[in-house]
Amino acid sequence: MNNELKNFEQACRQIESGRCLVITSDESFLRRLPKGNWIGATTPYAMSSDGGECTDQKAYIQELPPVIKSSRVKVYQTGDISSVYADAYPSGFSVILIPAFTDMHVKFANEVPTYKGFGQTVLMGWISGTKLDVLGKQPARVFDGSSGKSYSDAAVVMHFQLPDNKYADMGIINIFEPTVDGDVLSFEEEGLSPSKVLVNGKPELFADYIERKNVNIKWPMVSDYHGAGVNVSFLSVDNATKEVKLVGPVFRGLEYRLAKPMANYGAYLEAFRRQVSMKGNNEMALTCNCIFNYLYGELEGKRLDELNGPFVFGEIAYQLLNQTLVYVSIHDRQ
Amino acid sequence: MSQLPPISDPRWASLFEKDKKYDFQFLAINIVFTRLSIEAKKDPSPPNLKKVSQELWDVFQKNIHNPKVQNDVKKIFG
Repeated sequence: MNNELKNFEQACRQIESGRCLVITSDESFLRRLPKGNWIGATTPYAMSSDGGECTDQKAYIQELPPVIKSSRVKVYQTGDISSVYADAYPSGFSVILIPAFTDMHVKFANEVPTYKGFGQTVLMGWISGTKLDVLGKQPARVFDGSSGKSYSDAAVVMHFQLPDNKYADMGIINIFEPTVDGDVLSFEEEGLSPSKVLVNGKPELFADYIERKNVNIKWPMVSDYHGAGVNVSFLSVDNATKEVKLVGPVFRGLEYRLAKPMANYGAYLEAFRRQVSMKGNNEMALTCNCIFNYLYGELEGKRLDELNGPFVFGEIAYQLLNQTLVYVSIHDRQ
Repeated sequence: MSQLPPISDPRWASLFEKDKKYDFQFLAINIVFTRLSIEAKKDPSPPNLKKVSQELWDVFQKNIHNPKVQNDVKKIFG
């Protein structure tokens, strides 16, 4: 795979090659790129073969394999995002990029499981962000390279068609495990900011529970989706207003447990290696990893074996996930 | 390749009538089955069971070429 951090000249040359590209970098870098067959999202954080870094001088470029038969870019507003699955090529997959902290982000997070055709084709992608010190102050953006336009309130999607003898598969690597004997948490309010939690069935203000149990909000809550651990991460807790903000939504009817903590970079690396060995050998055509893994795993300047890719502000594998690595691989149909 | 039982097979609806834990391999099925199980629990009426069964079957049918999905079919139906 030709997926790496590239400087501006290298990025321009790769765009000129005409191949389908998904590009992440700082906004200033993406704005200078020529038009072409690419989509992009702002995040200056990436893991490359040199280790994790934050840079506005390079872009992480993911080049789709040449087997792609055709592609088309579509920009969605909140009024038509519900057709994102229905618009996919029947034998293909789609990549979606959404700016953080926007109506589109919230709408997609809360409603995507109800969209027509959900899960029938692979929808991979992520939430774009900014440098952490200006997060929430400077808008995140997504780019449609074919038109040269960028958006702070829309989703940019590239739909890919594969030949009939190929198919796309998507997997996740979640290094977090639920605490086995921990409290069972459930919610009657769905969404990104539930005020109350049911703790083993007993109601309590969510902020009070977090304070009473001294919960370290670096680590997510994990829910078991019939064999797949799905995380919901904490963004912030305000003890004065009792507001808890989450990065992904909680859903009614699901049970959550707090994740076991990860001590340091070594624990992260070991957990990623364990998960990769369980998944088998997948050549990853496209990947993204969570900015919280970069931050809390102290990954700056450190490698994660071959698990390269951008660090993003919410991962999309059919629906919005948190603190998870997502990958797409292309296979031959038997 | 595993044969997918037709949607008319009553075993599809019965998947939602028991509180069984599965260990699926295909991520879309993990997610879709989890959500549909919650919906079926809220409203176990025959029309709703038909609706959720159809939605689950559609995901299986569209992805049956994937070996993970074929393994999940075997897990459910043997």
